[in-house]
Amino acid sequence: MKKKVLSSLLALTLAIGALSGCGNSNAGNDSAGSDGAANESAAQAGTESETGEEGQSAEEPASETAAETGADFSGVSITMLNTKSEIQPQLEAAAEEWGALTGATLEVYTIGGDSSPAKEIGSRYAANNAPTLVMGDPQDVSDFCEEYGADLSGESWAANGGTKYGIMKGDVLYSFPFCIEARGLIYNRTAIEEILGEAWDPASVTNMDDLAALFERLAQAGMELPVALNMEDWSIAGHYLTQMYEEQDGTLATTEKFMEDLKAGTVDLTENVRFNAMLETFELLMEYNSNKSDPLAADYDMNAADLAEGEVAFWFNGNWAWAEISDYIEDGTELGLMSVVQNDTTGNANVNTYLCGGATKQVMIDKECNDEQQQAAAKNFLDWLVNSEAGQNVLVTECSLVPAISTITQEATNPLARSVQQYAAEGKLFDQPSNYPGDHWATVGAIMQKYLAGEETREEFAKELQDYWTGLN
Amino acid sequence: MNRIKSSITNNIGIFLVFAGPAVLAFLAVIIIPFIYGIYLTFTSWDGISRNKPFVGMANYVSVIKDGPFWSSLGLTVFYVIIAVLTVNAVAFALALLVSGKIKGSNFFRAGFFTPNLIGGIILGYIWQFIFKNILVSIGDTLNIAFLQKSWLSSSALAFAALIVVTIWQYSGYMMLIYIAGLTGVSEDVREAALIDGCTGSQVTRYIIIPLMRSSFTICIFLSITRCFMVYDLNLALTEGGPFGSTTMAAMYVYQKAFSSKQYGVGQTEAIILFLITAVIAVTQTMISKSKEVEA
Repeated sequence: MKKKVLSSLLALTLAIGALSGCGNSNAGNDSAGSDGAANESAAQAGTESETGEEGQSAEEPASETAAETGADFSGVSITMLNTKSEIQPQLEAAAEEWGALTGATLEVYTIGGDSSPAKEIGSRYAANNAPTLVMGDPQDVSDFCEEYGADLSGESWAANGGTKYGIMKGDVLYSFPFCIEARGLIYNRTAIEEILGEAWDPASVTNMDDLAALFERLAQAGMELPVALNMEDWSIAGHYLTQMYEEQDGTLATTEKFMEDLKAGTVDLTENVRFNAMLETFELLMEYNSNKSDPLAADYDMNAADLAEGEVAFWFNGNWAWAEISDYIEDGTELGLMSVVQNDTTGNANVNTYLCGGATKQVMIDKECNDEQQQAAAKNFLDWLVNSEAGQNVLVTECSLVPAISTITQEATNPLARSVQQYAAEGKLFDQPSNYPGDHWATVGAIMQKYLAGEETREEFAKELQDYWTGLN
Repeated sequence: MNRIKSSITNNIGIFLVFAGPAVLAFLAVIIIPFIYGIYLTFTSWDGISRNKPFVGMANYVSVIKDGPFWSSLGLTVFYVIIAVLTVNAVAFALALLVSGKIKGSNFFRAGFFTPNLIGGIILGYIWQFIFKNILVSIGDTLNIAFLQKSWLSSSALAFAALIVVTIWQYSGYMMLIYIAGLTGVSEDVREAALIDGCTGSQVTRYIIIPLMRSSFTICIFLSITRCFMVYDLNLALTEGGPFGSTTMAAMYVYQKAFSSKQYGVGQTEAIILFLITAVIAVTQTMISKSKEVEA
């Protein structure tokens, strides 16, 4: 009797296993909705002859709006994972607008603060229910785009910044660079000029000595600690320290080679010019840090408020910080971004005039769980964002982003974004690699926090950093 | 023969009607994922790819060599010991207090229980604000040296902060179970003891506590398992910081699986964490069960 129950339970288990097995074979039908189980080749033929979307964008790359001129995706429903949760409402509105033009439905969803993009994407693929448009961090997208991503090399925007900022594997472009972000020292020009009582030009600061002299003048004029430094691991290790890799000579190839050498253990960081120069400047910032008494208790929002209100003059961060700064800032305050200036420029003469930055969010189109028609619709949505005035408006004005595609010429809406836009237009951005180890910011962040708290010397920090890299093997 | 057969089918039918849905749900959300999880420990899956290369015991070998994992596990054990003792001591004391004849005992019960209704993440952020801003400004105004720096920026104090918040979070819940235990001890036994000449504290020590051992069993079991798996509080309050010194095992496992993209290794560590927790919890339950008495 007992055996019977047991065996029927086992049978049940098998049955469930079999069911979930079947799920794999008709993946994507859930999200495909109307289309049912159309097989791949049929769908492919269908899309190309029915909509002609591909052909159209190839023929007239600059056409005002591919979407308005006839692409019809009635009944197609697609989804988009948005990992920039601050622009969720704007993207939802954009999805509706695009949907009204094409007849398709685009559902944009985002993730909460307690989940990471990588985890979300992983669980979606495990459930065979990946979104059509997958927005992720560069290193995540780089990890899986060859397996899951659609080839975007033929898109209208590929030549205008797509291949420069998007993720390439060999000759194939796998992602749409959603926005450019760059990091550096944010300055509050208004506050500096008020304290000094004279006009101040950020271009006058050409190396670390200039910066130190300026700090000293500010301190004497009454702003004793003119710098705000974050304590978050992503800020100090993910953003500050990584400049050291990216500025070795400013080319992506050298950066990647440098990381390989670090892994192989052939680099002595204490001898490395950029490491020392970068940390020398960091030590200067630490000395004038407004959170100096307890650097690890620094509060991100307080830093933003201090900079906006002119309590401090400098804050190491990036243009995304506008979201917080704008809560506190008064009209007419002039802000901008400048390089983290260094004294020793051996090996890279541009370090004091360039910013480190690149496309920080990449949008991939999934080809595993979404059929050809859904992929075509997704491509059309990206095309609409880039080529229609309404779409450009969404990116630049509504979301306050710096677009990576050069044909979008609208001027950015906030001073930090304008700053980055200018650096990008002048070609003064050092590329960032998309293959940092996933735990770099967290693990190295913990090490660097010790250094920031003054519990570790530069040599000890260098040693631990080298150990981290060699430990990756 | 036929009758036996039909009674078996009958029995299966009855079993499926009553227990079927629960068994099905249990299988689907616990057993199958668990078995699948064990299978994943033998692969070097990155968490996203379709390929799950089979690597045999390699993950177990690399876990054994993973020093930071063992130190986070050691820290977790230390945390569990302190947290379980203090949470239960505080909870029992509170239970004794609010089950006495004091005014507004229902109000106090509700008050002590409320923290448990707040999710760990939110609770973590609230306390982060208290430790980072409120205590610091109190320390500044009153010139109390050990409050002037944020607790969260020193590793020993950040750990203490975790303990404090854990007590705050769980003791109300455990208190409720202890109250149930206290009220379950019949008034007759108590009175008999008093008539026999026991003092109030002797009644508690020799009569009430032995009779409500099952409450202790439950509370210690719950607090052990919950504290071993602490994650949300850890994440929201200290984020493993300062400099990674308060990273508990569950958080380390999460980072391994999802930040370092070594899902196989992370899963292996999760299984080890599960085994340790299970062995400790089951041993504890067996020992305390054997000491339970009935009136």
